[in-house]
Amino acid sequence: VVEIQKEWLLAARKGDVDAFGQVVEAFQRPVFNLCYRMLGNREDAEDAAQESFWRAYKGLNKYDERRSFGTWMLSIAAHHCIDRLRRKRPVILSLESLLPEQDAPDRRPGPETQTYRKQQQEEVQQLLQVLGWEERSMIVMRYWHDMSYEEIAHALRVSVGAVKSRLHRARKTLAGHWPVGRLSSTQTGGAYE
Amino acid sequence: MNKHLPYRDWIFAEEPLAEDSRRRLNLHMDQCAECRATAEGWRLAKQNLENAEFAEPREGFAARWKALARSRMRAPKRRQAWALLAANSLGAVAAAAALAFQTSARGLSLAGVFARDMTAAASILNDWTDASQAIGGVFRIVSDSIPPAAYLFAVLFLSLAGILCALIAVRIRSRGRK
Repeated sequence: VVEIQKEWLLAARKGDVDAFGQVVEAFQRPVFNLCYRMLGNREDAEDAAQESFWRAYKGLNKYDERRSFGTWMLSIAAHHCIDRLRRKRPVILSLESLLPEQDAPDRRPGPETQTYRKQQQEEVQQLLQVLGWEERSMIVMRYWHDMSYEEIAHALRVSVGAVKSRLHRARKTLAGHWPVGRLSSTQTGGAYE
Repeated sequence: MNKHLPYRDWIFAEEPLAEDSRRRLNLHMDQCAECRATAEGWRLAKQNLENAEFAEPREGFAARWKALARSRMRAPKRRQAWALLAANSLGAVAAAAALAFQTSARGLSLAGVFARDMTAAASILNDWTDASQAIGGVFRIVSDSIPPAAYLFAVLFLSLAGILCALIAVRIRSRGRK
């Protein structure tokens, strides 16, 4: 949980860039992560995260202090990323190109495991790109930022019902695209728990 | 009717299933390869989503943001300065164009127009000096006819009136805030 001091926001509202710099320091990780997961590359994510913080700084007077600053900040970042993606031409990826050709390595500690984990992260990242923009932002908010349906609905300005149905659709899409055939023996099978 | 309902909903449910639903789902999955694959795919996708790490920005993100913010705040001032420079340049170009037009329309040389305008400017300056001397003479007559005590009284009166006005303004403002 990221916490910020009210004094930072008060000073930032009066135009103190350094005070808002503290807020940026505190929220850079979640905001950058959301942008990265939404946009798919680090350069765009950096630009989008910087721009999101600038928009937040300029719009600080619109922030309702009764609500979570984090949700508000992520809402700005998600909308900004969706706008950027809308402006871009859609890129159609073939599923084969998303998946690595090699089998999953053993779960041994050390550099190999680290490489495996990194590879897994990349797979997740690439897999997210098969989702629609809104669904992607919902998945990121739900699974990385542990946001409730209500918080996601508020952040994306949609109803809770819409969040539930789109998340359901997103899960279905992810389940359909995950490489089940490439599982190691320890990961497969078993009854539903 | 879709034979996979309600099993698909149960597969993607976030809350733990009731004992009966879980038993029915497992029974269905024993017979349905499609639902089995979906459940496995989602289980792995979810596991990876939950284990996925936060992507970290490059070192110095906040410092870069502060530099960006400061440069963006300076931008309007820079724009203003450029606009002023552009307006001045336009004015100079317009004046040069007017001068050129005047010169060519009247068949005068540039030096001739310059000499004529300088003479006109000197004449205006001369008239202004005469007028200011006349105004100064009127003030001198007025000051000579008023005694020094009246000056002192007027200065004191105006100072007190100024302080009183300031006090009233402060009081009105503090009431407005309440």
